[in-house]
Amino acid sequence: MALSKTKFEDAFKYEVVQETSCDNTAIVNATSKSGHIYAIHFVNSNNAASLKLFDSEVVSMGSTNADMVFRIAANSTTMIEIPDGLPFTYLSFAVTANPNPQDNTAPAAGVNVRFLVQ
Amino acid sequence: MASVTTSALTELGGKFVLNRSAKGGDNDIASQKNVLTGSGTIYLIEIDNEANSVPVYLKIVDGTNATPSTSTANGAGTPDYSFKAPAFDKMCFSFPAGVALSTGLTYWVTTGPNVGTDTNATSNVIVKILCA
Repeated sequence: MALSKTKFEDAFKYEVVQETSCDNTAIVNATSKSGHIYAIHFVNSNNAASLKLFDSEVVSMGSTNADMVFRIAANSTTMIEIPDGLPFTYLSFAVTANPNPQDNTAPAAGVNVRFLVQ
Repeated sequence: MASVTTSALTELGGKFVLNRSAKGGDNDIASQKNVLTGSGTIYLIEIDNEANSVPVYLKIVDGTNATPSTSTANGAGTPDYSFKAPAFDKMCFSFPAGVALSTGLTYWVTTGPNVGTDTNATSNVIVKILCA
């Protein structure tokens, strides 16, 4: 896993948060601040999985309900745009094998997940 | 108002699903299941929750039916997609490349993110889905 945050300093206020191999280990409070999600991009080179978003500072995989669930098709690239921005207090996320919002099953392989936030 | 699907609108998407009072009970699924009458692709979703003081969740199954009250993990009440609309807010989700549904589009709207929640919002939630 490798979490990175890329800012554009004076050019834009947006920030790209990327986890190159997201799995069922939750990334918690990735931005360390509240904000809005404007786009989500994920690249999956393996079996189908599910991206989970948690607006929570504490995530217990297996018991915390995800606020948002997106099915990730096998061997796919998906883009979701949210023009008005989805507000969050904490940007926390994980990828699991199943769609259940409490699922804690590891995906077949990590998924590259990117968020455009501000 | 139940779910209404209109066909052949524009080149952006051939089917438009509109529900001015989307619900989440098991009985409500009757008018919200398999609304494309088969497979399809979602390009745009709008959830209007401006009338409610609590968040709502639009849940979508790639299937011809669902039972929202079923709390079994990954059972008949588990959605493939769950989209949150905050209180007093309207959210739009766009999928430029589309989200393919191989079996069908079945949806419901509840006040909780967890599986098995079938509680309706106090006021109407308006759902619009542009598909092909």
